[in-house]
Amino acid sequence: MTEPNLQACLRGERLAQKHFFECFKGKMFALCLRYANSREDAEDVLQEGFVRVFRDLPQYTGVGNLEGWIRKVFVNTSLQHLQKQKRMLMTAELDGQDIAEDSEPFFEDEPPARNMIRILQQLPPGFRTVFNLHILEGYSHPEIAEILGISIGTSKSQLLRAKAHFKKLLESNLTS
Amino acid sequence: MEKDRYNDPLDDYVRKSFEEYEEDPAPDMWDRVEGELEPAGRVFWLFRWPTMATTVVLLLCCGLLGGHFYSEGKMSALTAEQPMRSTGVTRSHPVTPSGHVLSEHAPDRAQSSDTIRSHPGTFPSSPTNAPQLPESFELSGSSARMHGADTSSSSAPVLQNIPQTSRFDNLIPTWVGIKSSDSVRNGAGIKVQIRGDGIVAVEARGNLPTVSPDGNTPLPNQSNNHFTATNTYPAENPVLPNDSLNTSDLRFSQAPVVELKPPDPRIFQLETIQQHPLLPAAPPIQPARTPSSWYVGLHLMPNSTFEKNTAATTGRPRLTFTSEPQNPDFSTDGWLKVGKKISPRFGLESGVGYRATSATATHTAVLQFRDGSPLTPVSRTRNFRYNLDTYSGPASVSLRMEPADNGPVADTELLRVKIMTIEQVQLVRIPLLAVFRVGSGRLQGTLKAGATGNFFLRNQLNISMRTSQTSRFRPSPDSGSYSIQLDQPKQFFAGYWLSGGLEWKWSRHISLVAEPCFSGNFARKDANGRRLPDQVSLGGNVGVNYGF
Repeated sequence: MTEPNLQACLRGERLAQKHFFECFKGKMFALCLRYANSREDAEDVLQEGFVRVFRDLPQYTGVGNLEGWIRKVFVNTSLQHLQKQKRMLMTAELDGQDIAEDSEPFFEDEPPARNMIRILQQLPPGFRTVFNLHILEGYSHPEIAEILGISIGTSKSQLLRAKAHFKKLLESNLTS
Repeated sequence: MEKDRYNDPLDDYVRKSFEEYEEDPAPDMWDRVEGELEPAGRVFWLFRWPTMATTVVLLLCCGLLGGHFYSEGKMSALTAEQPMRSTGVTRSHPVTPSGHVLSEHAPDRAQSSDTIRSHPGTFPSSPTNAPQLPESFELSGSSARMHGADTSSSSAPVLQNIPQTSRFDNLIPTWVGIKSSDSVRNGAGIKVQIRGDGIVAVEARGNLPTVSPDGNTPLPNQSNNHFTATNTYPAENPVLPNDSLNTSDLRFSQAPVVELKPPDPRIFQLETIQQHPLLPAAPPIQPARTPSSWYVGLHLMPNSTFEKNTAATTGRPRLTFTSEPQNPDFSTDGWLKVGKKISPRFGLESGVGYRATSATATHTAVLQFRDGSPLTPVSRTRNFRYNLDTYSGPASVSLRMEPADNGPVADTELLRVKIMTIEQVQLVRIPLLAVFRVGSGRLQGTLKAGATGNFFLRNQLNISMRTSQTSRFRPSPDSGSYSIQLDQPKQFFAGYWLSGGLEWKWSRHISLVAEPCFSGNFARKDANGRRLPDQVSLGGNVGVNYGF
């Protein structure tokens, strides 16, 4: 697929915007799925994220990777979406009591990422968020702490617990 | 960004799993995004190309019609001049106030006409029988034929009291004050300047003594009744007090006066007029009219329309199918045409046509169960949305399907649904054709080729039938479980026209046309760049043309 025409997108040309959407929708939807509780939530985030991208595109100065900039917009949108749902109860989730015991079956004919998305969506939002930010987005604990408004220690402990739960769910899915 | 990751194999596994991983969202995601975006900067309506194309066509038609009426007006003007030339009567002939011209046997005809021809000017825009005035004329004492005796001067002439209808002074406004009974001395005279449709100024020179009412006897005290030419009285203010007429000074007009030799004064003699009675102007002879190069026509074109689809079903960015008509559609186009023959061989033709069609088309939607959105989190009924490309334009279809049994349904399980649609279209078509004619005589061959502009008057799509082709799923029987809607249909599209046939001239004005015709539309694409179905029509164009 050809590179999107940013100037046309800035002018609000619908065809260029659609091409832009086609270029990034797959990657961004995968990102949204990792943060969201469900596919429907991810679609809502994807919709809101692209609206923000088109709205804020004039702020992109051309310095740095465009995809990186878009990814950042979508991460922020995903976090805000979770905050809206008031499910970011970090302290309450430390116990991990709301982790689903009955996980969905692991489909061998599907790509591993899809199965891992299912597992991630079974994690509490707090664990899932730290897991995503640290392992997949590459944020450090101080950065995560700043983004989420928690302490660095909380970020580290949440990551450890998230990984433990993720590993547990992964193993249980693979064995089943 | 600080990198403080652990070298955990799980981290690497997760990262590698998500590298380059993409997943498609719901097919209608772009629609949802687009619905949230601000309206795109809309081009001013005047600069949209359909509007511009329409404007060009309309201007062309107006230009053609305007050109026709202009040439018609010129023809009328030439026709109006024709009578004077054909009868040999020129505007230089002496004309009486009643509008009669003197007979061509008048002795001074040659002299008068030559004189006037050397001073062509504008004649009054009056009816044919109205008095025709030269630019100016002069009547002096030396050239006028005088009658009567002057007791004080043997050369002092007095105008004959001739009948009112043939006196020159009837051409002079009454305010000049010169009456039929005025006597004129040698060297005296009057000069009337006419410009446009009225007398601009009257100049009098010399002594113009008035005479007694009987027209023969000069007044005894002539010196008190003379007036001299020192004043100019423009026609716009033609007021002279009668009482001061005889003593007023008349000043010459500053405008150059075109002087013309007066007609031989003998024509004012009663004897001359009686010998050469006035003849009414001959009625104008209308020239034989030949048909102009313009024509209008009423045509009908029974035709069969075929639809061809070249686009394949695609899944990106959204599942898109193409409807295919079941049978060729038969219809009859009505045409009002106007054309112009530029030369015996070449011409241009335009007009306006109307087409109404109602076609039945089908398509089979092949969907995966996961493509649908569940009505509720626990519902097994799902809504499916996909695009459908039709001749009328791209459309969005919403279809609700449900499993036919209670068995588990995998996300990748396929649904095959055959949909039948009814497509009703009303088109206005405007062609611009180049016409080439071959042969001569009454029967000519014609070849026409050009472009057409097509405008949708009505463009409607309806679903008439849904049939599941798998036993695992069935269409939801709920009301509102399906819909189809055209997505911002383009109101205009361009096409082509090719026809060739015969034209038989039935009479001077009427000709009959019969020509097989092939027409279609140029390639169109939907918003995703997919080619929309094309239509081609094959039919016969028959009609009547009237040349005028």
